[in-house]
Amino acid sequence: MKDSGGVLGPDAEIVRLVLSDLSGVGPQEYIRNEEPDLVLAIGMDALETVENIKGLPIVYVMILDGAGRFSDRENITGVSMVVEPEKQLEIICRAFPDSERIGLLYDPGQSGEIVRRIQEAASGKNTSLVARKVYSPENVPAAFMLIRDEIDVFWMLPDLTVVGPETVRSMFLLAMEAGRPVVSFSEKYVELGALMSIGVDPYDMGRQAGRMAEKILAGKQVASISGRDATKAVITVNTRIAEKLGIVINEKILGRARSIEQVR
Amino acid sequence: MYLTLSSFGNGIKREAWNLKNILPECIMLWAARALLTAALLMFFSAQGAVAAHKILAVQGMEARPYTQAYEGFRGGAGT
Repeated sequence: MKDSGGVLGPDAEIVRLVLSDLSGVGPQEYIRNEEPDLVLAIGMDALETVENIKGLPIVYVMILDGAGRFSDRENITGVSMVVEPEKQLEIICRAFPDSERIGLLYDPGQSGEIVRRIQEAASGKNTSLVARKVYSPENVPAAFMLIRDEIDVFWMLPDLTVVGPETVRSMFLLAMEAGRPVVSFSEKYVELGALMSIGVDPYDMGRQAGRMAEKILAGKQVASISGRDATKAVITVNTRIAEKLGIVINEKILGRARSIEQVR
Repeated sequence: MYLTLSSFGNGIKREAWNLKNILPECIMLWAARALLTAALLMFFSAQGAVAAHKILAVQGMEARPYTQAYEGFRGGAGT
């Protein structure tokens, strides 16, 4: 699909390619034939398809921890599918002003950098972090049991070792038993039992990526534009869970949040 | 013969005198034309560079968040 507008004005041409619609020709061959000045990779499938095409500036979006994974690639930059951890911490602290201890489980190989940033941000606040390392999904329920009585809120990071269908179910059950609210990164988990999510806004992430592309096409080196986290946070609250746990969320946060009442 | 050579010499002198008078104007005209040509070339090449940018937006599948990100990208620059 050909399109124009947005990036660099109405004369710029944007060709949209949906990989699942492509037939007859390999995606890499198709991309080379198009001879683009820049590729926008939306999602991991797209990025894996284009990342090895040499000499092509690539801007990614809808990728978890892109900044960490592609920091050494000179032709790749973009926007990671995670709200800046410092901003998330700020929202959690404001939403639960009486909660001083925030719990985290994380695999250092996956979320070490994010946790380091959270610890740094927390050091300037009246908040203590109880962060416990886990190295395999099997260890998640036991690790959660160890921290749940030491925390006021559990913050579920988008860590592939910690978050899986089984681990999420057990964490929600254990959290509910202990009366601890769970803050997640996706609205999907609010429907499953988390009290609140701090998620991304895909449209706004696209805008961020568009501004990066504009700079690159104006002549700025890709390597000089570092990968960024999403700047806009979308808050969703499960009011039924809040009632069940007897938790009153700060009104200002509640005012800007989307409400969900059901639990699946 | 003398008269012919003399008039030829005078003709050369007159032409040289004329040339001496108009040369600075010619140089100024050539310079102005060269400057104008360079400015026009720069203008049109800059226009061409903007128009020539081609962006390929690749997404794995049709999914609402991906499409929203694409729409945001289209509106992203200059904001």
